[in-house]
Amino acid sequence: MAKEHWQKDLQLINAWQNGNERAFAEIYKQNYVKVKGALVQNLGISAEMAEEMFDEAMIVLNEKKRTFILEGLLSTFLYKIAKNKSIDELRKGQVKMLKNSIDLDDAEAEINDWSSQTFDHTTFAFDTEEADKILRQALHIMDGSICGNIFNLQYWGRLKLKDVAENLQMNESYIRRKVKECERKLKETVEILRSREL
Amino acid sequence: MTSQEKDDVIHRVLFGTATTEDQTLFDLWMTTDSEFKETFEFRKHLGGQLRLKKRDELKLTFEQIRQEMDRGESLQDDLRVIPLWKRGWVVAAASVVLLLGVFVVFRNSFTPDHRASISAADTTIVPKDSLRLKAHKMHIASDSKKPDVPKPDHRFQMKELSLYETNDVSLGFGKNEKSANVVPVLFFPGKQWQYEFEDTLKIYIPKTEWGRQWILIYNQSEDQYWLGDRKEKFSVIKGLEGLRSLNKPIQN
Repeated sequence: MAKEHWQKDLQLINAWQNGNERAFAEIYKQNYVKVKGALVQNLGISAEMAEEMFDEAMIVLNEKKRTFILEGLLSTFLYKIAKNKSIDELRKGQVKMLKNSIDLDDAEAEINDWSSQTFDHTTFAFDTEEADKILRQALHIMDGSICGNIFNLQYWGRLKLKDVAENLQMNESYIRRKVKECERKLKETVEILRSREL
Repeated sequence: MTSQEKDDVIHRVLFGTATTEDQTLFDLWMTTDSEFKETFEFRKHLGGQLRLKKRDELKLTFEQIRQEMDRGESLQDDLRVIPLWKRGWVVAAASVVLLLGVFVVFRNSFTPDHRASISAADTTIVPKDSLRLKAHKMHIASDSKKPDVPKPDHRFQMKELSLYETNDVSLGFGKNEKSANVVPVLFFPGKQWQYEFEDTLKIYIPKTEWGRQWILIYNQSEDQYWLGDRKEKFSVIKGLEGLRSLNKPIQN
């Protein structure tokens, strides 16, 4: 029975990794009730929080799209991630409550996750919320282009440039040159959008 | 150190896989190499914003999936097993089969030639049909337990079209360009030439046209895609909702 489930999961994962986005929606649908229910039952968290944590697990799966290898059942994989995320959140809440009780700054109680630790909002040329928005708009313009694909694989898929090149079936040195070119284009697009805003 | 090595160190630092040696070099360059520092800060910011953008998009997608499920396409509904006897159409189908069975038995009983040649196998007509009906029911029941696994849709065909990139509108179909990538495109049968380009590009054209040497061209300077072959080309705009007509681009 488990093997049958695994084969069905594998079929969906293969379809998704081969570009069928509907398969990703199916993965969501097939695991939503099961994982959410298990989180509520085993951790005693609210249904809303369980839903949020399941979404987080699906985000992790999406990040791993290019490299994900199904070893067990997909629901087990998603449940493990959602469970760990839930525990982190619960701990975060406890720290917050403790800090509040001794009247410390709430902000200090924030425990950052991987993404905010690594990619915090540092200053550079972009130091305001508006500038962040412009950068996201510029990235949106690049969606679907070769630059957009490279950035996605690099920063969302966390692939090394060598792997980005392999994934796009291109030469590594070409990709390295292309990255510089794409970064230049992105900066130019940001400048254009910024000048329009002014 | 080459620029390539510096790029790799930045990547490892950003993704938390830096070695002690990487970290030492990184700290050194951050204080002595302004270009390196600028590149690192830019990439860190770019990565952060790209991830935020992607997360927002995914959360929106999840919301849409949940709405789909609420509209009656939920997994619970898919998995709920309705007792066979409660399914009106099964009862109707079973009645028809039973009536047919009775008719066959009745007919056989009153056909002199056939009655004369009744064998052991013939006498099992009714039980056999009953078994067939049972098997049919079992088939229905086992189907109903199947989760919502996507069935292959033979109506469409997926093709991987070469993606060409150009900054020069006049280059047409990128004769001098090198294919940079391939894009999976779904071809559906359609009398009107239409497309839908959200996450995936779906083309609705007559089946007879599917076999043409279609390619995709992305024009960076205009942020515009074209779908074309050696004969003609059409504008396709990414991100617009719903079906759109495949129009030929306006020539400058």
